[in-house]
Amino acid sequence: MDTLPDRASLRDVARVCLDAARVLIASGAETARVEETVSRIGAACGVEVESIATPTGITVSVGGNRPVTRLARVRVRTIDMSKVAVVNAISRSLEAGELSLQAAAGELSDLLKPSGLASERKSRRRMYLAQSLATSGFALLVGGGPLELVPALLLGILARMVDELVAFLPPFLAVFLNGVAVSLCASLSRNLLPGIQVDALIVAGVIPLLPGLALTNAARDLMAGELIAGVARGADSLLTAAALAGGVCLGVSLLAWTP
Amino acid sequence: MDAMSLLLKALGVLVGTAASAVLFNVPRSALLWAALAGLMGWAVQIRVGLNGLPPAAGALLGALTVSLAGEALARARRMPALVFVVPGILPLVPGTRAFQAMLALLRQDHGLAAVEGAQALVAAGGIAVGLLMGTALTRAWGRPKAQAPTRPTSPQNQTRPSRQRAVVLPLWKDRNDVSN
Repeated sequence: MDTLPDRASLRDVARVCLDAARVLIASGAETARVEETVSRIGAACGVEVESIATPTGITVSVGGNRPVTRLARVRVRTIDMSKVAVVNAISRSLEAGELSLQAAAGELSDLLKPSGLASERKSRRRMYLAQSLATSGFALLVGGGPLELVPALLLGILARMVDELVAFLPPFLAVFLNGVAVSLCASLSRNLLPGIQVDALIVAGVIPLLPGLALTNAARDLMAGELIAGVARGADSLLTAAALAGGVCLGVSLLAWTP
Repeated sequence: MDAMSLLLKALGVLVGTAASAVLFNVPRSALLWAALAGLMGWAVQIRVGLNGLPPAAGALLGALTVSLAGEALARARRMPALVFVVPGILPLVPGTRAFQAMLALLRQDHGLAAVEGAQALVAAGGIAVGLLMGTALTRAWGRPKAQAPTRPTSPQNQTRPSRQRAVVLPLWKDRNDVSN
């Protein structure tokens, strides 16, 4: 840290900042956190850093009067809170001096790499289990009884399957189709179990699909003064909720047509 | 509402919140805390509802509770507040109301649709406002700030006389690369 920041080390800092920001944006962190993390890394390395983050990309400028500027576009966004927590921990230990810049760069590039096939399969299985449990838990919340528990488990598995099948589509269309599938299958379950509460089943199946992250991020970004990101995320959550509602409407009314 | 069904619902909230936390890939050590934050918010919402206040007030206060609990947990566990807040607000969502509004729309019962839909919308807005308030309240205190760099410009940059003439670089050369 005592040596003067030459171009090569400025470039290293810029790369670490950019990698951290890319992981954060792609995992669903709020924009204010992205910029804060970048400035933490800069402070840890003793250089001036400016950054502009949006939900779709990041620009980092490192160094005083002759800065190194890098930008990255983030196209694929998922929800992965543990990656957000890991990057948070990395930036903290960088700041505390427990981690060198090289070590941080290594850990970040590990985070950017896609995970192996075995762990992929394991996490898929966990996701199926989680969504089915979430659906049956919310079925209890919205007034379901013991009769709805097992259908809700199956409904969660179905929603997850549809989620994986339509992952290549634009997100709003994917959520719309998921809403159609959930409401259609929940309504069909009445033919098998006449006494079942279809309403509770549909609502419980839909709750895990709601844009909770986008709404939370919108609120946090607006309060942090990130106006662009906050408004963009608010629009995202509204559109997602509307697409979901439309899908459920279509699914329910499709069944009403059939005799 | 009798105690038994309330307990059953509380169980549903715990399981549902924890499971959706897994869905968001929340770190394992934070799962229980996220579920507890969700339970707290839901309990506040139920308690406010018992007082006869409108559902929007319940959603607002519930979301405020979740947000404050999330911020407190974030400081205690040294994790981002999002980890606790995102799963925690799911039990507050006015799903049944919104669904009833949609059913009424499909039956062309526009009066009922308007009533239920407006209530669902206001409750959803209440969640958003509760989150906003929680964040606004906690941004004021104790957020560890990133320190300003101790030495913004290097000593060499300070001793070197500032460049008077603009240097025109050839187009094929990296403009940032002026080290050699």
